[in-house]
Amino acid sequence: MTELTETGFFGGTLLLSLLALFLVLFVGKYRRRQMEHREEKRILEQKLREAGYESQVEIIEKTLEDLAQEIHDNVCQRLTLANMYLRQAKAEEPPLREESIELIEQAIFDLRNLSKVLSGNYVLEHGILLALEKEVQRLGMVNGLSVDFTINGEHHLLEASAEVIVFRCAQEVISNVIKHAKASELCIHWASGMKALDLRICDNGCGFRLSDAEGKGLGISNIRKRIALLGGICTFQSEAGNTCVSIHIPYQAASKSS
Amino acid sequence: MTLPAALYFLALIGGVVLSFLRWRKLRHGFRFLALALIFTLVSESYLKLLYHFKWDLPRSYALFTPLFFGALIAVYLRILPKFWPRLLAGIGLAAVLLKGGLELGKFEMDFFPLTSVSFDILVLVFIVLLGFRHMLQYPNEESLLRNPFFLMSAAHVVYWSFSYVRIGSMPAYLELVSANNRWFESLHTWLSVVYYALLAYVIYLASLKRTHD
Repeated sequence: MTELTETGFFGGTLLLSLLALFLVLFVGKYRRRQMEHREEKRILEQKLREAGYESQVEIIEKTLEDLAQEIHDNVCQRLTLANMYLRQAKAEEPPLREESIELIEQAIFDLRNLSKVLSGNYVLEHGILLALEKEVQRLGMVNGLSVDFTINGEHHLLEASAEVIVFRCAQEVISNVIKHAKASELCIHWASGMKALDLRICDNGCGFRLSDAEGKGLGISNIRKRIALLGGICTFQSEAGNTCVSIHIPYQAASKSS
Repeated sequence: MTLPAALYFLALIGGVVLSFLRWRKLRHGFRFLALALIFTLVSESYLKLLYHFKWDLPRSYALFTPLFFGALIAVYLRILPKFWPRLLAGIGLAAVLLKGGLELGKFEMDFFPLTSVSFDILVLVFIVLLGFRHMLQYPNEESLLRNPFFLMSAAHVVYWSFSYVRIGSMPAYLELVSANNRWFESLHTWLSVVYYALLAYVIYLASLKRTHD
């Protein structure tokens, strides 16, 4: 080979080697960018999901608020007025009149209680513990359940919106017990530790299988998601005669999330 | 016709048939690639005829080359979304077409215009590198082996860089040919087979789904 041939081939080989190196480096870099892109997408999707849950919770809260307002401002006022009229009216049968008045008074009392527990404002104004107590009282009276509500430790205030979320979750669990468990006893145990809040809601009902219950619209996955939104975890244990739902929320995580 | 030459024509015909069959499903960017394949097939078959009848071979290449490179650059002009890369691709396309037009007007060469083709290759490779940059900026989930934009760009870079080396080492190449050493030319023909087969595959992939644009 002449010198010219050697130079030409040396240059060509060098250029093609550089090209091969470039393509290998590009593929490596692109793979890394793909992984970063995947991670960014995952974080974005998670944020979107969380924003979705938050807005869902807000919408539910607003709806319950409106409902509570409606019961309080409309139905209760009308029943109160009817009660007053009945008291003033000269009924021909006093026992019947007395009974009507008693029924209406009971209805007003129930509606007021219901209005209070429906409204998130009640939780915000009086705190979650009082709201839970109110709910427990109402349930005991309406459904004939024997309810045991115990509180341990000093109440550590959660963020207001976090308290509403925990209250709604507890409400949903209790509502499931009433609707599906056929229980006679309900035990609610609230424990405020130094670092975390633990809430246990147990009943002596028929129990459920978690895999079946998740498909029945009992709101189990919603409860889990809402608690996860606060940085906590919710666990379900169930067997016939003993079902427990445990909610564990570290205070630090809850304050960050809300 | 040798085996690599037959395979080269087969790959090219396959690409052109796919281009016609999938034309409606191709997005506009990749339609230019299909056009480039069609130009190549027309030019190759036409040039073979010309060669057979000893007609003006270089003038036909001078017509075909800017059209072919113009179509390849136009793919990037359509696909690159950002202003600056598009502007550069537009300038590159205009330069290639303008140079081709001027050359055709006063064409008096006896041999294939190597310097001119080198310029077209440089412009194309530069714009392909812009395409790689775009891919790094906007990665997607797709595997690279299923990504028509990447396959097309990689094929361009490899094939045209090799062609550039071939043109650059033409004196050495001629020396080799004169010494009855045809392996370098044969390597180039085999690379052409892979290149056009890959472009046909790119046409097929691009007609299946949306990718890097």
